[in-house]
Amino acid sequence: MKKLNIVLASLLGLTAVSAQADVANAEKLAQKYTTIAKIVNPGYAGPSAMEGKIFFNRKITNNGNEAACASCHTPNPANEGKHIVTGKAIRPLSPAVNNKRFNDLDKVEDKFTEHCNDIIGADCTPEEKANFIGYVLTEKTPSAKK
Amino acid sequence: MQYVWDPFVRIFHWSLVVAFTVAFYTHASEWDRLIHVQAGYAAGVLLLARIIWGLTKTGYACFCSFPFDPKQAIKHIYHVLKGNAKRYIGHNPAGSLVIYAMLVTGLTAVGSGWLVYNEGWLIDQPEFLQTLHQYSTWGWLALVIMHVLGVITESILHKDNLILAMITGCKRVTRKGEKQARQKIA
Repeated sequence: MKKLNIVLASLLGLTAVSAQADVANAEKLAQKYTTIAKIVNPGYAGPSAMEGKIFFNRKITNNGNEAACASCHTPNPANEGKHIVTGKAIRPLSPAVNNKRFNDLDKVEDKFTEHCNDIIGADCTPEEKANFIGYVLTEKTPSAKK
Repeated sequence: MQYVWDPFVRIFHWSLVVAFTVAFYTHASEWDRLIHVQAGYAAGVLLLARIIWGLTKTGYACFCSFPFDPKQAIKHIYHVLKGNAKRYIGHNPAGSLVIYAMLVTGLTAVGSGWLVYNEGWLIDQPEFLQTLHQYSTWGWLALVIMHVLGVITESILHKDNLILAMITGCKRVTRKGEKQARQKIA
């Protein structure tokens, strides 16, 4: 009985965590990357949504595979995406549209590293990550369906 | 020589090694996602097949020949450390415990991976499922390492090549204690 209570309580805790909209959490991570980026480059002015957008759409060839973030996530991070290898649907990146994003920042950092390695062949710089989040935060409405 | 592992068990064992290795090697890259998923499904099918085999077959493949018994497992490890461990033809009690742990952890890893891949099915908690998938697979790897260490320890302790036994199916036979053990199972 005691065990069951613990399980139920932790499940409840989980739903509570994912119920909060995580725009604030995304901003927190962008702030962290900005701080690191400023150590490397004191001239860095903070997240640039414009730079982030260019980065998001830039096609990069690595290991014979050409892709951009936008290849899977569509040019609008508020849209539902489609995995270019598996064809599986990907929920929107934008935390304004999908409140399941940026709940667990450790996960986000892991995904950054994995995806950057996939696309660029190395981890992204803190500057690139800060700009990326800055851009994703600005896209709040899905594009109209064609 | 004593015939221990039937062809199904041996093919299952090495296929699972291959499936696990492929899935592990391809886990990080999205470019390899399909291979990763297929290797994971293969591992899941293999595990289920082994469980059905263990429930329906007799002899050393049967779960009844290596019961889940933590008390005996601790006793066995104590005797290994003392240097007077009994030799078992099938799994020893400590090995059995690791086998059951691997079956459960393996199914958890495959099940959680399946739900991560098909996001939104049954349990709609992507981050929780990803965490579960990570912990269960790393846990599985830890168990594999324990399994291999156990195999090496027992091979040295009882002067038998257990890795070769999983290829040929046969183990070396010595002394009468084992003959009794054999009669018990057969």
